Amino acid sequence: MYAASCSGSLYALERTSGAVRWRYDTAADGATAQFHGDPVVTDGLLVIPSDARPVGHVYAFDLATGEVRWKTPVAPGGVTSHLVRWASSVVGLTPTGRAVSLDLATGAERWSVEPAEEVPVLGAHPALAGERVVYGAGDGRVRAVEAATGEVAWSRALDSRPNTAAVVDGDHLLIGTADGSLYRLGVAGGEIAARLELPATPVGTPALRGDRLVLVGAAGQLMVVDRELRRVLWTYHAVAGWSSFQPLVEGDTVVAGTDGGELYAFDLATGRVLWQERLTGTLRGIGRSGGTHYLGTLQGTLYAWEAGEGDVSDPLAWLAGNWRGRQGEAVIEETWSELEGGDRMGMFRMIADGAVVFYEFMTIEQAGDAPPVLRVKHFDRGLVGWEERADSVVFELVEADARRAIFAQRDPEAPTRLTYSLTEAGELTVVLEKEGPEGPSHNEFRFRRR
Amino acid sequence: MIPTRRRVHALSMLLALWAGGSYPSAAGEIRWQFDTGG
Repeated sequence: MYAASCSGSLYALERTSGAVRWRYDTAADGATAQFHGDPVVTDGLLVIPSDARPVGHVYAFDLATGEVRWKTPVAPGGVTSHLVRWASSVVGLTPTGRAVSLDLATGAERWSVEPAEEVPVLGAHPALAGERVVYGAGDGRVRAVEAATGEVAWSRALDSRPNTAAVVDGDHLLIGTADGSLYRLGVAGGEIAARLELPATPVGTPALRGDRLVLVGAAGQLMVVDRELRRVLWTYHAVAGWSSFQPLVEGDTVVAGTDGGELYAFDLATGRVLWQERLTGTLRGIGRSGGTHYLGTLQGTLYAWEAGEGDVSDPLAWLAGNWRGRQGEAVIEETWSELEGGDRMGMFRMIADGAVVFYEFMTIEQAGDAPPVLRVKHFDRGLVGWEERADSVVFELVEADARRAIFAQRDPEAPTRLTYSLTEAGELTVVLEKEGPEGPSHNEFRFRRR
Repeated sequence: MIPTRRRVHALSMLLALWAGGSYPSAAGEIRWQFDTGG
C-alpha cells in the first residue's frame, strides 16, 4: 500500500505489517511538498501529484523499487487535485484551476487550459467522462475539455464556484458549489439537468454508488442524495465535523471519519449507524483492502485497523477481491464482489496444462434474518453447466467472524463443510471437507490477493 | 451464528442509545500503525 503525507514523504508499506518497502522525500526537490490528490497506478508506475510553493511536482515512481522514472515541475503550486488517466496521459489541476495534461511515459506536458481568473480552490478534482475531462475551477466555471487535445468543448458558469470533485454518472456529471447546491450537468453540452439545494456546503470527493451519491458537507453534515438530484435521502450530523473528505463506500456501507478521531459506518440505504470506533487524530484518508481499513490522520499516524465482533454490517467483507493460487500443477483463481443489495457474487476457475478445467459461478444471498446461503454452479469449458437449471450446490453459513466463514451442506448422506479463512499473512484458504462412503476427504486451496 | 450475533448487536445498540445516545463499538483492533511524521 502507498501512503503520502503532508510532511513531504511518500511511503510504500507492506500491507500486512506496515514495514517500509521504499520511501521518497520531496525535500530533495526544493521546498517540502504536500500530497493532496489521489494517484494513478498503472503499468508498474505510481503517478502522484504533489503541491508546494512556488512549484510542485508530479512524480512517476516505479511501484516495486520507488525509483523516480520522471518528475515534472508544475507551476503555480504543483497539482492539488486527484489525477485522472486518459490513454497514455494523466490530467490534474493546479491550486488556481489550471488543467494540465502530462505524458504518462515521459512526464512531458501535452496541453494545459488556463482559468479565466486565478482563484485558489482546494478540493476541485477532475473526472474522466468518455473522451473528455470535466472539472470545476475557482473562476466559477465547469469545463469539459477534450482529453486528447485540451480543446475546451464547453465551459459553463454556475451561480457559485464549484467546490467539489466532479463525479461522472454516464452522460452526466455531478458537482457541488460553494452556495450549497449540487448540479447535474450534461457531459455533451453542459446543460443543467437538475439542481438540488443541500443542507450544507458540499466539499471533497463525493462517492457514487448504485443510485446514491454520498457527500461530505461543511458544518458536520454527511449527506446522501439520489443520483437524479430529486431529494436528500438522509443526513447525519457529526458534532466534531467530518474530516475525511472522500467517504469510503463499499458494498452497502459508508465509512467516514471525524476531526475527533471517530470512525463511523452507516447503512447506505437507511443512514442507520452500523458501528462506531474512536481512534486518535483527525481522520483523513480512508482505504480498505479485504477486512482491513487503512486510516490516515492529519497528525501523521496511519492505522491498519480491523473491525471486530461489533461489525455485523458485512461479516464477509474480507472475502471481496481477486484471489489467485496453485493447486499442484493447476492455477486456481477466485473472485468475490463486495456485498451490494444484500448479495455477493463470485467466480472460480481452475486451469491445468494451459486450459480451463472447469468454472464456478457463486452467490451468497441473504434474506431477512436467515443465515446467508452460498450457491455454486459448475461449468465446463464452453459454459456447459453441470447442474440442472434450477439446481445448484447449496451451503448455509453456520459460523462467521472477522477472518473466517464456515459453510455447511446439510446432506445427511454426505455432510460437507466449506471453510473460508483469511490467514495472518493475508492469504485466503478454502478447505472443503466431505464425509463420504469412502471415508472423509480434505481439500485445501490457498490463494494470494492479486 | 450470524442471526444470534445480529440480535445481540441490535439489543446492545438499543441499550447504548437508551444509556447515553452513543452507538455500538466496532470492537476493532489496530493491527499496526505507522508514523509518517505529519
